[in-house]
Amino acid sequence: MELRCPQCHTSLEPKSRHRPGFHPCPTCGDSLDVDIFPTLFQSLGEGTPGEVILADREAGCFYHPGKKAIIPCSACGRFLCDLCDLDLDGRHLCPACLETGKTRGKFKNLEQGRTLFDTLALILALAPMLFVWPTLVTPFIVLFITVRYWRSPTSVVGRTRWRFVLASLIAGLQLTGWAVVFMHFQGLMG
Amino acid sequence: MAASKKPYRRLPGKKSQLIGFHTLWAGEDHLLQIHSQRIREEYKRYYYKDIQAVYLRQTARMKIESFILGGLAAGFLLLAWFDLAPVWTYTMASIMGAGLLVNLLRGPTCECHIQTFVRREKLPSLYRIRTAQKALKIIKPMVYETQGRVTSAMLEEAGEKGLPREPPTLESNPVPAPAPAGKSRIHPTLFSLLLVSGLAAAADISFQHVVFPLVWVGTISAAVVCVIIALVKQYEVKTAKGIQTLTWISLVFLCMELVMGYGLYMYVLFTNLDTAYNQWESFLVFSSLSPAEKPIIFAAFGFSAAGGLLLGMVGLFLVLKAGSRRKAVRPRPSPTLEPVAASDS
Repeated sequence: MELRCPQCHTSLEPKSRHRPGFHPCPTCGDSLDVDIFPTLFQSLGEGTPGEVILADREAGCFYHPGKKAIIPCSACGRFLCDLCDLDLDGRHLCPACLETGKTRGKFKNLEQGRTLFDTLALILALAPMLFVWPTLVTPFIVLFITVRYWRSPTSVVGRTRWRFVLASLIAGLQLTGWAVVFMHFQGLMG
Repeated sequence: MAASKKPYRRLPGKKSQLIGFHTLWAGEDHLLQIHSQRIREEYKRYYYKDIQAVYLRQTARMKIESFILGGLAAGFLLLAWFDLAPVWTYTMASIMGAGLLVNLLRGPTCECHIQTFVRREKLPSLYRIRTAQKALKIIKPMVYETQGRVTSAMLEEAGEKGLPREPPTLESNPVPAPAPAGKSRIHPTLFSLLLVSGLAAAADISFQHVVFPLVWVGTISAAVVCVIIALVKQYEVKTAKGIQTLTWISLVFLCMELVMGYGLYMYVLFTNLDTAYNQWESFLVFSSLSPAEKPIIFAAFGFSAAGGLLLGMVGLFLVLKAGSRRKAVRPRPSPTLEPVAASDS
């Protein structure tokens, strides 16, 4: 991609920008500090379409039988041509395995989002305390979420499960509190 | 046994939003941008080997915020000077003053953009120059380790030949044009209701008549429904950024209005307990509240009138502007891909 001002999209000269400090954009005059890296001067390059099979004894790609296979898929073992070979963290995968792995969340680096059940449990344990009555129901939901999703991955940046523990403790206290209240009223009525 | 190593290192800078926040993390081979919505996280990865440039653009946000906070602090001090609810106004003035001080101490603001082979993205967590520079001090060595440094030969060559062009299929639209705004009737309705509510509140300051509070309550209630629908619609229909922001501000304003209205109503109920069991009687007492009675009531009415009028007028202006832009933008032909030549020759 070209070097462009983020504000007015004017094309910027790399040579004049490769210096420390803020300098004005020649068009909009906004102060810009641009750090340039060598990839800017490299081309993304075009993909290779795969070699055509010339001899009968050469193995063909599973997806393109007319193209020469260069590598087997690391997951399913299907032969792949240059076009179908997808390199991910040093593994060579076919498009189908990549898609399946992405859907099942097998490739951490392809994940675009995660639901944080530990935070959800903690919010469900704390927020209803403002309105008191919902705490008759929410402790059960909190305990269910804790048990059901205890083993589910939390944030990709890595964090402990203390939120689950705290949420369960609060839920337990809420249940104990309600039990005490009910027993008290039962005692009064009995 | 070796301690388990954390996969990411937190970089300076955090941008908080109404719900959630943005943070930036440095991994072994990539930067990870996290948009946390408390119970859900969205990730964007920028691999060090793909980063072409990092832009810092100085913005005027700090100056504007300082101006607003300074103005509000001065305004509250002026009110205190005239002995209008001095405890409340002094408290507000000190809160605004503290905000101004913090804003000045955190330094000038900026926008940080990162450019890779195929996209240019904003890094919302780096919005203060000092924080952004601290983060870049950590990021740059990692990128240099992967890519090396820019040499004068590279710059000379780029000056002579220009930068390498992208593959033909991607070249058709290098800078994405802003998408034309979608048409939604709910936003004009919302801003019109806010405008009417502002007018009703302004009229109620001068003339105590039961009609104005009735109009005010009706328009505010309708605006609450509209703002919820408008926020949902914003996800379905492409809406201009300014209108989106103003809709969120309207939500905050309406919440404040509801809290304030509830507080005033409770005040009326407790000061006129004999009307507490008759809703209409209580409402009549509520409508007869005079802003001249207490400065806090005047401030509440003034806030309601000024907020409603301002949001309504700015909102309608933005809606009209977006409408005229939509008319001006003609549908562009979709970029056609060249057929790949058969290589079976």
